[in-house]
This record gives sequence, structure tokens and C-alpha cells, in this order.
Amino acid sequence: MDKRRMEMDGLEKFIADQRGQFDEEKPSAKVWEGIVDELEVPQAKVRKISPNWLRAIAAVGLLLLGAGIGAFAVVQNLENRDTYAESAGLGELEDYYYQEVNQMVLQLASNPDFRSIQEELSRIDGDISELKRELKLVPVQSKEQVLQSIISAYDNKVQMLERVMEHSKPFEQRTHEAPVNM
Amino acid sequence: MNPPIGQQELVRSCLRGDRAAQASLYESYSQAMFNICLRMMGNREEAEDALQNAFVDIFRKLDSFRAEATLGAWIKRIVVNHCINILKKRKLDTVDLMDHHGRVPVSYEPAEDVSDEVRRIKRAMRKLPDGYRVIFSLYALEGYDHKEIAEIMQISEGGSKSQYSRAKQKLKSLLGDG
Repeated sequence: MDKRRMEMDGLEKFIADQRGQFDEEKPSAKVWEGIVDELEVPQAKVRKISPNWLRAIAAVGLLLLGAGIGAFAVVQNLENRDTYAESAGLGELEDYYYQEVNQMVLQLASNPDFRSIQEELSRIDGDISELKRELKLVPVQSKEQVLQSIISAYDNKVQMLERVMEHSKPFEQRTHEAPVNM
Repeated sequence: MNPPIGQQELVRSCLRGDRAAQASLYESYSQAMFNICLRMMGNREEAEDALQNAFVDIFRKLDSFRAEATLGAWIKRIVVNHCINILKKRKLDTVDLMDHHGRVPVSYEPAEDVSDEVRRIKRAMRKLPDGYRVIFSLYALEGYDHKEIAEIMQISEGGSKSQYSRAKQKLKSLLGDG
């Protein structure tokens, strides 16, 4: 902190010295009232599908899709290749994973390894983008395999975050609380 | 800022749904968090919305609070993330905000009256583009370093440094304009 202060210019030093004066605004009472209102409303049942269930649903979906696509391809050429991903429900699956991952990332915001976690997530996102490009290019008989790889990649994200959360020390094990440093 | 009862007990009471404990925790942190929201969002209405949503989230996710961070730092990070998410939805521009003040060093002379100067800086900060205002707030007022800001805003550390430098120059030029 001293090093940081040494590098400060006049404006930064003024702000640092008068820091308390920058926190003088108060929220209106309606904010707390709004919080209480929201907390009193029973939380909407978030569809908490376990990863195992999700994998099972995805597997059944893929089986049905494989059969359906086979029959469909006989009678009609699939001109628009994005239709495959849409009909497989990839969009909905992505929405689900997006919400799951976002919730877990938010919970891990204060994790000391947060940067590595984000880097790993970015790496998997890169793989997913590559696979989605591939999905558009491969022949219809190979699409199922690519789609399976996309789902596995999403699954990997969730599993990786679950592992990190499991390894985080539970609150109850804390022996003392560090002073609040605002 | 210290809560009236021990922090661990306060958290446990909040987890049990004790409304008085929740009110106490809110009371302890809401003003500081509101000022963060105000600086990041740039207006009172959006700042109050962000604060409300963030605290609902905080109470619902309190069971995930871990010992790696202080409660204050954990709450602050959730509040900052909420603001960033809202700003991203309105296309927070953090990339190309170079203007004619970008390379010209601008000197800074504070007004004699400290309270006047604080008001002047607050007013000038509100005139900054979203990206500049957020980076300047996170670094100069919230005490995050560029590595942390890079994580929060999902930009590079170098990007955070250069944006901050430009934001500071822009702010000084706004202060110079009166």
C-alpha cells in the first residue's frame, strides 16, 4: 500500500486522504423494503437439475435425435445446418449451463484461485466455439458426435466449478474472522 | 462498519432467516456499498436497483461465503459484479475511449475547500464515460489493483492500466474545465 501511495499523483492522493468523504450518500429506505419484499417471496423453484440427470436427459435426447435425424435426412436434405443444433435443444441446454456456471462463478468470486478458474473457463469456451463451428461443417451423420462433445465440454465446466466449490473451506470450519477491511 | 454482534454469529443468524440480523448486516454495509453502486452506475436510481438486487443475492448466497475473504470483501465483490453485469447489458465500453486528452498530461490543482473539492470530483466522475468511471472507481476509490480489475472486467491487466491512465487524464481535464 505504501508503494502504491508513493506512485500516487496529486489527484489520487487527495482521494486517498479524503476517502471517507466519498461515501457520504445514503440509499433510500425503499431499498431495504424492496430487499425484504423479495426475500419474503418464496424463491422461485429454480430447476436444480443434477449433472447426472442432465447427462441422462442429454443422452436420451441425443438417442431420439439420432433416430429422428436419420429418418428425416432420408426424405429431406438439411440445407440449414443450424437447424440441427436448434432441434437438438442446444440453445435451451446452453441457457441452462449459462445460468449454472454464472451462479457458481458468482459464488467463487472471492476464491483466491478465481483468475485460474476464469482462465480455465475461457479455455473451455474456446473449445466449445471451435466445436460449434465444426458442427456447422461436418456431414449430418457426424453431427451427433460433435453435439455430444459440446455437451461434454459444458459438463466439464460445471464439474470443474463443482470440484473447486467442494474444496473450498466451509464457513463452519473457520476459527476466527479476519477484521473487515473495506 | 463493525456489526453490533460478532460477525460469525451475525452470518449464522442471517442464514436462519433472522430478519433483524439481516437488517443489521444491511445496515453495516449498505452505505459503503451504495456509494460503490453510485460511482459505478452514475445515477441514483440505477445504483439503488443494483444495491437492492445485490443484497437479495447476498442473503440468498450467504451460505456460500467462505473464509478466504472477509465478509466485507465478499459483499463488495458481489456488489461490484452486479454493477458490472448491469453495465455490460448497456454495452460498457472499455476498449476504445481515446480522445484528445489521451496523451496530453493534464495538471491537477485541488480547490482549497476540501468538501468543495470532493463534490467537484464526484461531479466530474459522473461525466466520465461508463468504462472510464468504473475503472477509475475500482482503482482509485475501491482499492482494487489492476490484476483484480482485469478479472472483474474480463480485460487484460495492461488494458486496465491504460484505461485507468486515460480515465485519470480525462477526469483531470474535466476538473480543469471547472
